[in-house]
Amino acid sequence: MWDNLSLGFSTALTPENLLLCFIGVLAGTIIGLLPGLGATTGVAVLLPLTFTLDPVSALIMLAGIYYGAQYGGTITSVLISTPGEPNSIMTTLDGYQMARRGRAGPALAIAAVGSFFAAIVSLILLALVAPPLAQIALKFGPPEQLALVVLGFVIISTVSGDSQIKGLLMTACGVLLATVGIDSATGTTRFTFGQLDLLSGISLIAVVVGLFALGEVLAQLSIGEAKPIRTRLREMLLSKEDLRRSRAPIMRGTGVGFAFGALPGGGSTLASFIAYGLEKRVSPNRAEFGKGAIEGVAAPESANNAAANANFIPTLVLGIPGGATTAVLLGAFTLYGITPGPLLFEQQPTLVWGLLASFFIGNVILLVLNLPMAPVFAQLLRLPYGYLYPLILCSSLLGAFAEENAIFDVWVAIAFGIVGYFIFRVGLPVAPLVIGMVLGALFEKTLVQTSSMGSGSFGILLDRPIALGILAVAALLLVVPAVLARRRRLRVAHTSLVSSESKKDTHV
Amino acid sequence: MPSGELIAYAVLTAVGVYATVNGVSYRLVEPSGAVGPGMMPAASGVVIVGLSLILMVRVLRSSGAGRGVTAEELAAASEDDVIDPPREHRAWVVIGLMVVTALLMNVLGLLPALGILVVVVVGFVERRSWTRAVAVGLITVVVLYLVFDQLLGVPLPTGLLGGVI
Repeated sequence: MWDNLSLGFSTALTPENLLLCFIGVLAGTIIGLLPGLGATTGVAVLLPLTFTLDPVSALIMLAGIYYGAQYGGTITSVLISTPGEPNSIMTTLDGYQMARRGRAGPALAIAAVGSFFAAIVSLILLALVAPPLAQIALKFGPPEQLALVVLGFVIISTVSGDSQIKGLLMTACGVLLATVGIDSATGTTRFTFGQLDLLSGISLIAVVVGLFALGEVLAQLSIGEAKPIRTRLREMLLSKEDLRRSRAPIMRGTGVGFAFGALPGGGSTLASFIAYGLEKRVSPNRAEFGKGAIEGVAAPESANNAAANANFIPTLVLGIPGGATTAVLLGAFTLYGITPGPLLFEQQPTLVWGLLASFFIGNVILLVLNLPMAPVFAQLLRLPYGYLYPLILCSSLLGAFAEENAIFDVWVAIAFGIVGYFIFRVGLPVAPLVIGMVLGALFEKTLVQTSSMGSGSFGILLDRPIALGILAVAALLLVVPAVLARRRRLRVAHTSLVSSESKKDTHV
Repeated sequence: MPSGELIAYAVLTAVGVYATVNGVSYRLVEPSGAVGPGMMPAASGVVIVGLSLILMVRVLRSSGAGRGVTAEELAAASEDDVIDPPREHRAWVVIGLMVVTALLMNVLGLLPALGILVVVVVGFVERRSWTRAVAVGLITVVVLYLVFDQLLGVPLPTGLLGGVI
């Protein structure tokens, strides 16, 4: 492994590749900053620019765009409550609240630190376990993916603020929204109302931009213009307490992100959701989640980056894309005449290890660029809101358009901006609706595939030990907290009964 | 007058019923026994109806709570942070302006429409000086043009006026 890594670093550390990595990371960060554009669009749009480069250099630059965009999406999540990608949704929950409290700098900084740590650990794990892990991933079929999505729903049910029922209601609404369009299994059009633009479904980006960016602006306008957030320099920097609180969430997020990111077909999307939900369950500061807990930023951000790297396992070893962006990168592989697969590590070690080493270098560049820039980005919030929100409106509407070059998506964003405003006024949580859309699409796909495999019966799940294991974990996560909570309530009731009886005895 | 929350849950109940009925019409199960195209809409519709009704009952039972949040209450809760009295109508004005902007995109082009949005919001809604409003609008359009059109090569609609603007 060390020989391979030294080969990789010697490939990645040439001046040309370093420059391309830097350009990729910078371009990716800028692209991720723009609401509506994400890593997938960035890689796809900038792919033609790399045709004149040799394959290793081109892939290094494209990979830099990939994880640079992850961090760019984090910046908008924290500063203006607009996730750049579905993976950044969970960061919005606490990151934006931290920004409202004048702690945007620490939020951005811990995202950079967590992402860096996750990138390094996942790179080492990639180098160690990529081929054998890929063989396990091969065993992941629709039943296992279905079980995983069920686990995701269970864990996400904790991400609902104070009311689980409201969260589940919004999740169900998201699942319903995901059914709009043509059903891929049967070709049936559902809820399109005769609109051609709805045949491919409702744009997730337009919904995210509408709910989070436009909805938040409308909500802020209705409660009066908030003062620009003024913070002292030391409040914009990470404190020892921030680092102490973030240590364990970063490690847990990294583990969750790597495990789920290595799975083909949507595992990386689940990673940040599950990392947040898990952290909320185990953190000693769980009462602060949703109100600006730094753990709520550290965990999902680490999970994102670990998953982004782990996504390359099914991509490189099996030739199966781990997610949308790696699907585009897979296309790039094909354009350069490279065939991903089990033999890639043996036949093209320079390319593979050079690419993996560039992940490390790219994340160092990200950290060096963004850690000192975190307080600078946070200064944006000092702009009077009357100037800031028109810019948010513009970039959001343009971002909604840019995904599919469709003005219809602008209308969708505006409609969901109004929906988001009403959701805010009524006190319902927003994030579960979007999570429901993402998970709902995955859930239906795997449900249909699993039922087809079993000819209508789900008994096939009983023959799949991995799927059964995951469902067992989901069941435990549902049942155990409820049982423990009931026992706690009984204990409290018993204690207060004993205490009141002993007081009566004393009086007598 | 029913509270905002009650209205919201009633609307969601209606949506859930609609989804369930249509889901059944799309076929719940295929002839082969596999899950049909109507299963997910119907299942999510049933869940939406059930949970909305539970929440409606809770709101009706609780006394005075669950009115949703009014703008005045939110502003009072965060009084220290608010330097401008709540002007809820601003939200509706901005919604109206976004609708007009979307309609103008096909006529004037996307960037000019967004530029006008910025100028009107800053100058009229936020009551800043018109000079500043125009300046912010121009800078916004130029930056968006450079980033989206030139750097990223995203083709932006130029409307009926084509390349004139």
